[in-house]
Amino acid sequence: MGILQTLISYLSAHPQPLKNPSSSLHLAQHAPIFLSSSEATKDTQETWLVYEQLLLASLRSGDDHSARLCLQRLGDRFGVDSPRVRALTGLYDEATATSPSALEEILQRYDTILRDDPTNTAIEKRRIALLKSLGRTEEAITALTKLLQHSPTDAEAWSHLAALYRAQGLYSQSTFCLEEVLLIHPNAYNIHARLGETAYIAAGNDTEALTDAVRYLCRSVELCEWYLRGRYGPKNRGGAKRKGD
Amino acid sequence: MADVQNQMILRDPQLFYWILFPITFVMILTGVLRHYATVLMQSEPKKQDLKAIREQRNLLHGISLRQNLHQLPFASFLSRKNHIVAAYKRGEYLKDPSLVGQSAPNPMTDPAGMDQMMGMLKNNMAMIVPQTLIMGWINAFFSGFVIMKLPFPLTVRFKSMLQSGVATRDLDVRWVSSLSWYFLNLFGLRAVFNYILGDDNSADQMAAQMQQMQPVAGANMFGPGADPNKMFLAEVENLEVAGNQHEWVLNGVEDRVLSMY
Repeated sequence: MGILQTLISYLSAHPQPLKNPSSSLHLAQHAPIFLSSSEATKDTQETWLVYEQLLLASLRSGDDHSARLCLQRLGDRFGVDSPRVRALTGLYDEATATSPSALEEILQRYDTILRDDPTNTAIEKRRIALLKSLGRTEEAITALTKLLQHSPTDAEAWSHLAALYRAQGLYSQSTFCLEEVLLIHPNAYNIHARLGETAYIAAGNDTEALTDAVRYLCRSVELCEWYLRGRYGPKNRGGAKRKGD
Repeated sequence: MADVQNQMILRDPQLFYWILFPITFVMILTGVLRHYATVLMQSEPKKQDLKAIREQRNLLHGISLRQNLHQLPFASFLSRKNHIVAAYKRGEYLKDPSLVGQSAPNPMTDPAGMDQMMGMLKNNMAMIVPQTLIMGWINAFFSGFVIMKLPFPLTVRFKSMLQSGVATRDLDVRWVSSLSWYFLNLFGLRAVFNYILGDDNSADQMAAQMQQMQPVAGANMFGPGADPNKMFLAEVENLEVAGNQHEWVLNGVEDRVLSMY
């Protein structure tokens, strides 16, 4: 079995390798072998998906050299101006930036790209992520609300916004965003659990609100029996509620 | 007629090399050629501007609210519904508010529609031209030949399928004429194309025709000719109706969870 085949089957077994460190490390370790093999020149759809994943994985594990190579080949194939390659280039530059001023420069580049082509959602999201990592939460929130005005069916953006609002202590706004996520993915048990947690934090001593929190957590357990975060929820909240009474 | 099963026809064995094989070969080659021609002629998907995206996604937002309304407590559903209904009625999300009330634009003059038409036309050309050519070629050179005998018996019903172009009543059904061989290839080469060109090829004419018969329903929703304002107003009605049947999923969830154990 060739290296390309190995990687494709690995990716189909782990659809989101960036979710945990071990699978991204595994991928990144294969990156140099793949890049120097003859199969890396195959021009099929799968090859380029593998390239993209390898780029992300090697960035995560600090293998900047492989990442550079992946990015270069993607750029050669699809053109440096394609929206997706642009976003990946931005990601690479962000990851290898050494000083805050370099990040500021990247931010300005994003602004220019967005002015030329306001439909480039990938860059818009990178800009938001960069704003967040620069610690400018308010600006990130503004940018997110702008994005959600033109695409209110983007669950990722809504949940991101919910997290930002929650970090600011704006619980009712956060709840609103999480409810929007539920409208798009009605069976997302983790979102139900997070709603429960938010409701609990916001409730204080209000018994009715606490009941709602317990109900949300119950719903997450109902949807996914072994969702521990949902399970620990009602237990703790139950104790707290008794104390409150 | 009595001894139809053991009918013998003296054929030149060269028929196999000069008819059966060439027809198959040419059919496969045209399939491959068509695939690459389609790939070459594909125009890049056109970029939508931000306002069009906004219009579509906001309509989808309303639809998802209507479909998943039971996930929300009644109060938050109601506030969302009122907001969306008001915005839809005002036409806030419309790409071009000045078009409200005018009749739907003629799809022939809409540039976006033109693109789609051109794509369809190109596809059709890629399908019809080679089909006509090969059909003519076979009719001109090979019509009327009986080229092979199937190794298994068949019923009389298959006669029209296997012996088109050879009008003999008494010939055993197992004999296949050249024109029929062409048709068999036309319908039956899909597996070969899948093997050569990969799964997602556009070599097979039958698959392409099938697609034309039943266009994908979702893609047509925002197609040219549809009036977005009317779609928004229809969604308003749907939302109002759906709002009367609201029931929160979280009602009684504690009992449901407890009864799981």
